[in-house]
Amino acid sequence: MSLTSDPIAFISNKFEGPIDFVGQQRAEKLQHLVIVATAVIAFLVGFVLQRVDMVMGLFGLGSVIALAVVVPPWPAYNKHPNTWLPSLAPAPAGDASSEGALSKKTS
Amino acid sequence: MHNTVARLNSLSAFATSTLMVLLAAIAFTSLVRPAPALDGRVDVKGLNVVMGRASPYARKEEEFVFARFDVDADVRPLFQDWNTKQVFLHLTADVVRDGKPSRTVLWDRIVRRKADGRVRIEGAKNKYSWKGGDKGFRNAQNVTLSLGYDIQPYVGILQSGVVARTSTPVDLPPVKRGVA
Repeated sequence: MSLTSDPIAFISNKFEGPIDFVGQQRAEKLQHLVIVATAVIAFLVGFVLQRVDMVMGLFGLGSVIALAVVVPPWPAYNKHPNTWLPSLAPAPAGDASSEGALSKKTS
Repeated sequence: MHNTVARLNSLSAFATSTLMVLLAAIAFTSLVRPAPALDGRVDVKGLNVVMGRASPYARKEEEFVFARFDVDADVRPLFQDWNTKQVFLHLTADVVRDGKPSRTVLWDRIVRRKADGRVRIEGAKNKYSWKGGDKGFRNAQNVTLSLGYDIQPYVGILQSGVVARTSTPVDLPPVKRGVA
C-alpha cells in the first residue's frame, strides 16, 4: 500500500506499533507493576495526608506515566526480533506447486 | 500486546480494575466510624395550624402547620474523617396522627466544609410545608423535632445519626379557620 493507493491502510499502518514477543512480555509486566505501585503509593500518601483528592491525583499521574512507558512501541521493546528459518532454495520446475508453499516469506 | 491499540486496551482495563480496588480500600477505611460526640440543641418556639391551599389554584383546602424553632448544632467532628465529602442536616418533625407515626422534614442544610459545621439559627420558619392531608391534625399528638445528619462520603456508604431532639413532646394547637 502507499499513500495514494490505500490511504487509510497506509495511515493505520503507521500507528500499528508492533513489538517483538519478549518486548510484549516486558510491556505487560511493566504495566502491572506501574499501575499497582501507583495505586499503593497513592493510597498511602493520601492516607497519611488525610486527603482523598491526593489519592485520585496521584493515581491519575501514575496512570499517565504507565501510558507513556507501556503503550508506545519503544525501541527497547524490539531488541529481540523473531528469528525466521532461512528460506528453502527454489525447487525444479516440476515441484513448483508444493515447494512454493514452504518457501513463502512473510512480508 | 502486539500492537499499540492492544496495549492501550490492556492498560485501560487493568487501570480501571485497580482503581475499583483503590476506591474500595478508601470506602473500607470509613466503614466503621467511631461514634461522634456532637453538641446540639433543638427547641420549638411556636406552632401554628391554619387552613391553606398548596397552590393558588389547588382544588382542596387543607391544614398547614407553620413552625418556628431554634437549632444550635456543631457537626465539625464529622469532618475529621478524610472520607467525608459533605454532611446533610435535616430537622424532622415526628407526630402521631390517629395512632400512626408520621414524619416530615421541616428544614435542611448541606454542610460542605468543616468551617461551616457550626449551625445556629433562631426563630427559623420551616422551609418545607407540613400539610395535614385529608385527615388533618385533629388527633395529632406528641410533636418531637429531631435534628438528624447524613454523612455523605467521597466513596462508601451513607451513614446517619441524630444530633439533638426536643426534650419534651408538644401538642399541636387546634386549627384556625377564617384567617385572612
